[in-house]
Amino acid sequence: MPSTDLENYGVSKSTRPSIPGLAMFGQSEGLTYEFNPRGHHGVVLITGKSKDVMDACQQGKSICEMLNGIPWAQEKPEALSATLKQMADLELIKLTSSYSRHLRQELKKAKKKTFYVWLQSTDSCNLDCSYCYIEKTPMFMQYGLASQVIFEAGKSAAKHGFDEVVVKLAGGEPTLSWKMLNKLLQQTMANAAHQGVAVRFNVITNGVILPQEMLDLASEGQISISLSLDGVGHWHDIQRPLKSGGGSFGLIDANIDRLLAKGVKSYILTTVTQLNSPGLSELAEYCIIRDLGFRFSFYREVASSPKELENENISLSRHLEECYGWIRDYMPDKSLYKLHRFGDMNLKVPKARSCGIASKGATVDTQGMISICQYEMSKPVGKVGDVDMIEAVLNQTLYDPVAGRVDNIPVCRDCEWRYVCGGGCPMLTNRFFGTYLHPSPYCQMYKTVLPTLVELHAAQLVHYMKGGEESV
Amino acid sequence: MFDQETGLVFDTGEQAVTSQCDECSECDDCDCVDCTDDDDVDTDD
Repeated sequence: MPSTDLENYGVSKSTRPSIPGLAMFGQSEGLTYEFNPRGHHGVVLITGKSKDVMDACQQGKSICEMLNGIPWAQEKPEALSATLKQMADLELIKLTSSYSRHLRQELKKAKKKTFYVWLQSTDSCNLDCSYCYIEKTPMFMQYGLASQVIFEAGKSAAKHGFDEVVVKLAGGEPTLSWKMLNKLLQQTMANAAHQGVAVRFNVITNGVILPQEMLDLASEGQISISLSLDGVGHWHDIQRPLKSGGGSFGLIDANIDRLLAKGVKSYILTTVTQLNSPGLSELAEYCIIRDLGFRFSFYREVASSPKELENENISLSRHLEECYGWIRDYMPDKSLYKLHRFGDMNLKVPKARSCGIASKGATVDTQGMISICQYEMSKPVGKVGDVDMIEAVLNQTLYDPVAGRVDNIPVCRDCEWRYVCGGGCPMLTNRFFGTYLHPSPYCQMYKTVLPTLVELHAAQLVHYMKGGEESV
Repeated sequence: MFDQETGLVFDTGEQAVTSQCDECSECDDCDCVDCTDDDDVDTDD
């Protein structure tokens, strides 16, 4: 019998639970798993009673037929009800449209609206990375402007119903403007209320310099630190050399140790190119041993980029699969959802676009010019102080996030992975193909690697089932 | 978690949309903006 709770949403004995349209099934060590790309729970292993119920659902049986046909359900109808509810709550099956709507509303309630500001503190850098898309100039943002950016972002966020602003202190290399940023942080934290909108800070650094105050703020939880690391030793150094010459890995490795000694786990950002992709397994090991989250981002070409960096989908896929194979063999206890991110993708977050460009974020350059992405700073859409920051982003005509939905992109609209990749970075696609309405240049690699990633998540669940400790 | 009663095994962590999760700062820490709201995704109701 459906529980009273489910009855309120029209679930009855005659209900025939259905399988979500894009749901994918597979086997890991003989156990069935499901991944629903429209769902919010990632990969789920289906064993025991839930397997019996899933088999019945796949045969199109009604709840009444399940009650009569599944031996344990005859004896314990309440167990059938509990299993159906949990499977529906995990979005593995659908009971009624009314219950599906209820689940979506519950998810929406829990969401905080965040606006992201990329603050380009300087265009200068102490590294000379061949793939960098930031045009190097000797420009530094002045304190007065930086302070105004925070004020204007808070004001605009409050006006547009956002709950918080996350400011990414970036560059160039932000530690080169640390004196200004430290003052900004101290002043902003002292003045905690910004039109009722919370403000949080993240520093995106190359990790070559780690000012003591920055380390202290991170250890106090006042800021988070993301650190660019493209590999271990040689694999990093070949694409992230010091401006003065020589590799930068040794300096960064030492600063990661300083952070860890203070209990600070920086988040590792890796740009994957043809050059460093053979070193990804070693990098994964480095991060997992240190319990550092890491993300693989894929190289975005600019006019000045050297040819040898260009990713070639087949070899890139092979190196990624080798890396995920290594992780599978040395399965960590820490949840993979927390530990690693493949590009902009997250198996628990379905999306119609790759990122929140032109709706949930803005970039402000050293002179206060606003743009929709740090990759597009040459195309400003307004100036801080002259316009409402969020309105400038929403009203610009460079990119239409509604038209750019993955359902509107030919080929993508019929792809089973569309709500996982969201179509990929639209700016990169536009540079490659001259239109946003085209599959990503990385499309083939995504399609090859995503099944491996889903299997990896399933393997971690098997690991938990066998007694591995789930830690978050 | 492994629910012995139903036989379902799933990750119990918060959804990795950082802004609503204290433990994970994934989206905050990436050099992208957070992904779009999932209610943009078509349902197959």
